Amino acid sequence: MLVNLLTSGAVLLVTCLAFFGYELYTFRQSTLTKLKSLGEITAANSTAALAFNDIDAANELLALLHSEQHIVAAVLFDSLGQTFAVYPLELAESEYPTDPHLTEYGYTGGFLEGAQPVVQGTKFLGTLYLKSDLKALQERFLLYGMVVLIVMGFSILIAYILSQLLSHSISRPILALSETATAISNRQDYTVRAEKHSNDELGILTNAFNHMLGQIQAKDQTLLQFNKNLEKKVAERTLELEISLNEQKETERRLSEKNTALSRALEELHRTKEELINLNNELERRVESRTKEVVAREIEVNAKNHELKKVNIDLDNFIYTASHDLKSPISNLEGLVGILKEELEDVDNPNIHQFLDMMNICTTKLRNTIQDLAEITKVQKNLEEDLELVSFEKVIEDIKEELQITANSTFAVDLKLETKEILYPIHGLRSVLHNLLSNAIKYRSNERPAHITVSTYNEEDNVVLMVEDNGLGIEERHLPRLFSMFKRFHSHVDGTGIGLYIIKRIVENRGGRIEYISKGNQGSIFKVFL
Amino acid sequence: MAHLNVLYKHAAVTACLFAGNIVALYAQEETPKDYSVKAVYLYNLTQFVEWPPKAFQNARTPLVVGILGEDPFGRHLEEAIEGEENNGRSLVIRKFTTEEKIENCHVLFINLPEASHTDKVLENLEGRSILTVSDHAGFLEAGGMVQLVQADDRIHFQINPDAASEADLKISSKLLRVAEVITVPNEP
Repeated sequence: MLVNLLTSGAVLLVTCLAFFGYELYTFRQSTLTKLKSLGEITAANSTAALAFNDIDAANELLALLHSEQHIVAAVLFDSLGQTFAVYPLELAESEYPTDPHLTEYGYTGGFLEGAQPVVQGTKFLGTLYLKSDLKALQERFLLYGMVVLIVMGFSILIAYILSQLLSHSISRPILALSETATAISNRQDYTVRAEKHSNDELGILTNAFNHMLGQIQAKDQTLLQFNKNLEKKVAERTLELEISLNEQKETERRLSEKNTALSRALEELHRTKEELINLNNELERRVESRTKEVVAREIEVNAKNHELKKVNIDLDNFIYTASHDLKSPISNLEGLVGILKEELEDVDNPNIHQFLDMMNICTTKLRNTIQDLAEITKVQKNLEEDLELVSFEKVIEDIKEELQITANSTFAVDLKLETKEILYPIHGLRSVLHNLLSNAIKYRSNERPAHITVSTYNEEDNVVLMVEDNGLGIEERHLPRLFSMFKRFHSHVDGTGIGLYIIKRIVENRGGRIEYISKGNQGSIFKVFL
Repeated sequence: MAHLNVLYKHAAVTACLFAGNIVALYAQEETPKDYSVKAVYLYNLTQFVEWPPKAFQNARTPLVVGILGEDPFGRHLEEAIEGEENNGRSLVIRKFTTEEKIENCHVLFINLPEASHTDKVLENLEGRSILTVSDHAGFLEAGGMVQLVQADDRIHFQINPDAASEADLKISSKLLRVAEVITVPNEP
């Protein structure tokens, strides 16, 4: 109540004050404007009076200002600034400025005053000064004050009465509504309904409020249901998520196991690789040391070889010296045995003759041996012999004639010469063929006539010479030492056991080789790669 | 210079007013001092009269102040109009000896010794937009428009507005307020 009254009173006061201020302002402005236009009119009317020096006319003109009761002074100055006419006529000189400088109309100290030019056309004729008091303003101020006071008093009175009347029909239902609303918002109970007091606007408002409550209640129900559904869904989804999370964890665990296994395998691989590398290094080291050993061995072998060669040469020299130095004592011995046999011819002792013959045989054997030794040294010497184109047939024919003289039996030689000629040292080739053919005849079988086949052909890059006989053959057990010096496997014929050795040396010195192919006791085959 | 001249002129007028009594002594003799005031009045008259447009060839055509008869102003009239203008028009003084030659004139000060001659001139000028001014007695009755009168130690003037309106001239009410309006009955 009091609040209402104070509020409306304050509002009213402010409004009235604003209105009051505005009125005063506009009144001041309009007063100013009025004075201005009054000045304009008066100035315009006083031009002729000024122009023609008509003071009476000027005074008459100013006297017209009498109708404006607030004009307290009006003065016309001529163009030189001298006072020309005044109003009212009894105006004292102290009431107006004697110096008529032009000033805009305005409020100065309790008065409204100003001066303006009097102009006809373009010609300046003088100055008009006007002065007005502010009584009109004060009157207006008083009037407005009264009006404001009365209006406010009445307004507040009416407001008080109206509020008294209306509070019953308006405030109470609104208060009831507000209480209901508070109760609802406090308890969240949307079943409450506001009580309807009347059928006016407030009744409608109450209805609307109740309707709204109903809607809110329905919405609330729906929301609750929705919430429940949502919670259920959330729970379900959470469960699903947990399950899937567990699965994921399981998968992760398996993966990590696999990972561990893999990394273990990787470690194993690394280790194996390292071992392999170590092994490799070890191997390399071994190969290196072995290589060193081999190199050392080779050096050793070379040294030994060199030594052996030296020994060999020494041996050759020895053989040569021995054969050469033994020749003359043997010859002397043979001569002495011959002389002894002639001297003892007459002695009739068969034993002596037999001994002498045996001595003769022995010396002959010794001579032959020495000859063979010389032959070996000769071979050694002929090694550097020059090459020449040699015909196999010719060489074989020569040897055949030679052997037919010395051999005490007949023999047949077949030639199957695919290769007719060869570039070879002639003495070497001759020596090889002579030894092979003489051996074939020497070790013939007593059961059959000797038959020798000599064949030549090209095998790979070599020329092969093959001599086949139908003789005694060589026993299996002798084969390893077949080509050694002074080895003989048949004692029934003469021989020094040096032929095959010589052949081997000749052939091998030329880069070839000799092979023996046995036919048992049916004969032998010597295959020579020249 | 123009300002100084203006000041000088008004000073002259004011001096004249303050020396009212002295002037009165010489009033009857029409001293040159009276004519200095009359010259200023003659110029001031032009400020309160409106001519019809046909009175000027164009906007720049000067306003001609003519003097018929003997020139009583001396150099005062020239001083009065010097540097002044009327609605943007310059002011020119022209002196006429016979009325036949009056043309292209807007204000005519008539100073003829014989009244009969004045009558004849006014008759001839009838219908033309020329403001006729004189200080001869009986000028208005003869059909003139403005008559300068010496009275009460001052120079007043009388105006016949009918004659002016017949000549298509508009005289400001402000001028009429300070003048003595004389109505001349139409001649029979």
